[in-house]
This record gives sequence, structure tokens and C-alpha cells, in this order.
Amino acid sequence: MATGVFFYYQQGERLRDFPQVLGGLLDAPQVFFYDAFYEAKPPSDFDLDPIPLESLYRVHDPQMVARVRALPAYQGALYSASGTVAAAVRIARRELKNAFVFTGYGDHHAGRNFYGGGCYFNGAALAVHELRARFGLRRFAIIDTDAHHGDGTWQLFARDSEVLYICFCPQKSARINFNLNIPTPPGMGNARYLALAERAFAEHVPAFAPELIFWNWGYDGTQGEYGDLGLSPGFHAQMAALIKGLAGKVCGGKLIVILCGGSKRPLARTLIPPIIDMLAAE
Amino acid sequence: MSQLGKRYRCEECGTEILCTKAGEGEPQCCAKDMVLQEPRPLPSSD
Repeated sequence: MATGVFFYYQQGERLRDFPQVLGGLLDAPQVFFYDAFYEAKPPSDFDLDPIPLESLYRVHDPQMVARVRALPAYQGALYSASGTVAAAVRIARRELKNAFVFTGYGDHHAGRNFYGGGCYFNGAALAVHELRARFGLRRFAIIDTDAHHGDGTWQLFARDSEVLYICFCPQKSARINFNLNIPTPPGMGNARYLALAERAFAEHVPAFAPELIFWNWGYDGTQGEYGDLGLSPGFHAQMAALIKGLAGKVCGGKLIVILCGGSKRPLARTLIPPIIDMLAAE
Repeated sequence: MSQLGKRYRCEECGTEILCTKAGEGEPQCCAKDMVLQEPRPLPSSD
């Protein structure tokens, strides 16, 4: 089965080396590249198309959508969320097994009627509703290892007993329905974080039996980043292996990795290709 | 020189290709150089 890479070209600095730095990864026969966007160009099956407004309204308040549409960030936010939805649709159609979604704006601070922290639309939530509406899938897990609390995702799924949301962040321990907040104190380092995650996954995910896992992956907890948790760069590949293994056990490997926090261009260049490589490996 | 990750289109027959390995040459189709499809970068948070 195949791995999808969803990409839109950005003006910012963080992803300036992409897609060139992916090197031979795109040459692998099981890796498919979907990108956006080209003006006045005939459509192709590998276009990353923007999701329609009606889909946004399933998750976000129309007045909030209207506010975001008036911002300069709108198109970038729309294509960021659209990548996650497009990946989910192709996985549901069994065209892909897993995917990596490049975003320019994050997901998890976008709630029903609020946005912030560089997040305007909640791509994972939009994908959940798309898969429910079009494919009848019901149960999902969202694993959030961005260094900050996902207040938007938390709000959106607090009353949804068919979405397991596990948020690792420095906030205190909390649980509402199937929303779990698991504290990750600053300076905890790789080993403690990974042990904590492994325990949490074993305790909650198999029993929940999700049909697909979303991983809100941020590298802002890496040493020297703006959410520094004392994690080394090597942490992320270890976490990717853990989550890929988890997806393999509980949902046939169906996994979408959504790029969230993290700012440094050299780290993006170092950390992202091995994760895509791992997704594409058998 | 071809560019990895870029799309090229044949203006004769409409064939579109994605460059997955960069090289020295220019991709051709229908005996003509294919046209690079230029993206329009969008805003991001950084």
C-alpha cells in the first residue's frame, strides 16, 4: 500500500527546502505526491484541491469562517486543512495506507468558534466529519505531540465519544469523555516522554479501536525550539516508529501525520524526510 | 535541468509528469520541451 505526501508551496521560511530535500523519497514507487496549486492549469488527479465552504461549516461556526476568509492567511489555512482532508479521503478509498501532510498553519488551536496560535481551521476535525459523511467511518484517534495544548481539538471532541483525543503537553492532567490531557513537563527528555506515550497508547488506543489515527506532530518541543521540552532531534523518529507500530496494530496502519508546530528550517529539513521514509517503509 | 518535485506539462498532448529524480536534461514529450508548471506560493504562519 502507498504513502501520500500532501504539499502546498509556501512563502515562509520553515519549508523553503521542500520538496527538493525529499530527494529520492518521491522516486519510490509507493510514494505519491499531491501538490497545490497552479493557476490556469488543467486539473489532474494529483492536485491538492481546496475543501468547499460547506465542509468548513461542519466543524467551524460560519461567522468564524467569514472572519478567517477576510485574513491574509486564509488561502494558506484552507490548503493546510485541505491536505489533511484529501489524505483522509484517499485512505478511506484505500488508495493510500498512510500520509504526511505539510501545513503552513496548524490545526489544534482552531475550535468551533475560535482560532489562534497560527491555527485557523482544524484539519483533523474536518477530516473526521468528511469520513463520517462520505464513508461511514465512525471512530478515530487523534494523538497530539505538539508541545502546546490543543484547545481547539479539545473543544471540538469533548462531547464526542467516538473520537479519542490524547494531548501530550505541559498542562495539568485532565480527562473529559475520551479527551485526555497527559502532562509533559519541560525538560522531561526523550526517554521519559516515550515511556509515558507508550503507556498511554497501550492503555487507551487498542481498547478504543479507532479506524484511523491522526498524529498532530509538532517539533516545537525540540531543544532550542519555542516550546522546548528538552527533546533531542532523534526523539521524533522514535515517536514516529511508536505511532506507526500502534496504527499497524489497531487500524491496519491507517495513519495521517499532520505537521504542526516547529519553526526552525534546519530542523524541518532534518526531521521530516525520515518520518516520510518510515511511513513508506513496509 | 529538471527540478525534483516540480510538474511539467506537454502543451501538445496534455501529458503531465512529476519529476521524482532531478537530472541534467529537460523533459520532452511530442518532440518538444515540456513546460514547467509554476506554483504560486501561499502564506504560512512563519
